[in-house]
Amino acid sequence: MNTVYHVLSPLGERVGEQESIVCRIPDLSGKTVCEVWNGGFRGDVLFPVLRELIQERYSNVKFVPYNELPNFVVWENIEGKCGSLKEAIIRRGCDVVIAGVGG
Amino acid sequence: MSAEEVGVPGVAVVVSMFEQLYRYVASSYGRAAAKIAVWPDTIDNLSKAMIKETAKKIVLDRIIEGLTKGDPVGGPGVEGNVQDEKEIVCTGTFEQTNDTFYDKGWTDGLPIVPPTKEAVEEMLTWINLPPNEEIGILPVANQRATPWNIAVNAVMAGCRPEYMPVLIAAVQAIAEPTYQLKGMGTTGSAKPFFVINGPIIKQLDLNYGTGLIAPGRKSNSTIGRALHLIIRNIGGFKEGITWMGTFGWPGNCFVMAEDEDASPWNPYHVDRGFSRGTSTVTASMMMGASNQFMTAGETSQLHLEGIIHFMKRIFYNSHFWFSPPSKRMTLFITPPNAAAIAKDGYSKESLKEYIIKNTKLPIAEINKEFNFTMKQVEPWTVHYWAGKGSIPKEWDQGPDDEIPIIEGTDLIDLFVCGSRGRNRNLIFRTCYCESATKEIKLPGNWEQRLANLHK
Repeated sequence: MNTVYHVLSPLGERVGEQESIVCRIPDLSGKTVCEVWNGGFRGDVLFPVLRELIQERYSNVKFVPYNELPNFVVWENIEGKCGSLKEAIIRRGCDVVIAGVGG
Repeated sequence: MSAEEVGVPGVAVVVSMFEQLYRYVASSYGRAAAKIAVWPDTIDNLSKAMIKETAKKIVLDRIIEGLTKGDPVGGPGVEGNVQDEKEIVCTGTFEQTNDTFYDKGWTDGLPIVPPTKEAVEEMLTWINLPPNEEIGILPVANQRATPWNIAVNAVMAGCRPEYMPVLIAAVQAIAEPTYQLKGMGTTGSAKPFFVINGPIIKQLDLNYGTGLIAPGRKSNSTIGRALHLIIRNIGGFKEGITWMGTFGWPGNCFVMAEDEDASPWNPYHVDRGFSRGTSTVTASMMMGASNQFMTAGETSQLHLEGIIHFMKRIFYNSHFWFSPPSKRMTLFITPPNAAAIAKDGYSKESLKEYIIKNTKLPIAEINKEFNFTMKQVEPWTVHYWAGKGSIPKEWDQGPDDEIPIIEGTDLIDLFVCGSRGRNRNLIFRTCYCESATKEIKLPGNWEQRLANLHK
């Protein structure tokens, strides 16, 4: 078949613009590390391991473990929980957040 | 991303097979520069010692790097975002067009009809909407669905132009936040399906009888294919990148219709508050299907026993991870079975109440299934999920007790369809999804134009 077709894209226009992320910190010494867990994929094993390893490397690190922050153990309505998570991150004085586990 | 929004640096630990998904979704929502620490391979089947070793040797450094290094300026967005929908993106023969579209990941693997401007404009004559009207914003690509790009995908699928009103309503339905289209990416494999009600069933020759899910009828098949392409190209769901179903499901979206003439009850959409003369499309999802099981008898008893039996068999413990309304069972009953059930005085609602009351499983059996599903420090059990609030607290009983598995009649959808000559039933199960019903809005000269087509 030699007919020539001029065709259109099946995609759509993406909503929103790209934003910068927050500047990183120099290191974890003296910082508060907060954990956000999605309820699965061995996070309950990994997060305690990470606490141990981080404390071996950096001094005076405080942790806010995942069970003290809103977590997404019920996997729908994530958007509804983001507000309470943001408030908790501020209230608990988190300097950094480690989230997991995407699996 | 929540942390970043309040000025706190964050990093996400993601298993390697989900790295592309994470980056795609982050970019779709404006965070292409988001930091990620990739966990090599899988984590589910590792011992604690192996988790510690991998964390120490590989992942900890990635986490630290994510929190302490890197350019905060936004990275490039995900490719493929279209700025001008009417721009010609490709010129070529049928084969060249298909090769280009396939290479870009814009097809379902089958040849497409080249979407020319003329074909798209013909589609748009069957709806009363401006071409750039926002029908909805579809996750995970966070792209705007418009009549124009819906029509492009409809042309590709081989749809007839008069199918456009159905497609518009179907996209409105899947764009509803409560439908949770984003849940379709689950590794458990979720497939959208759609059921049509109202006069449009016969006007568009939709199959509601034998083989209604199978390919063969132009309207069912091409509308289902168009919806698959829309979910792929506008929603951004691509296998292995953002559509992570471990095995997937065959074919395109199922498009079905209810056999309203043969049903002893009101059609589904009437129960949802629409008039019988209105046409609607209901969007739902399926993650599991029962056998197409037979039930026998001129009275309801054996039919009800059979439905309960297979409702129990289709249960999967993920049903307990989610609280209502984000889970459902969809029951399809053929007309002879519906007639036998209705003859004993059951309405759809009383049938659903019977199902809820009698579909019970022993807690010990449910807990046994949890045990081989996911290794957790605090084991997943009925007690655990009752504590999390996703199932009623009164279900938290002893191991020898039997508990219901469906919380309420609003979590069961019921349609009469399938062979009029056969006594079979089918059950679909899903999590993540609340079904959504939308009116199919028709142009003013709809019936006249249809009549002209068939002259």
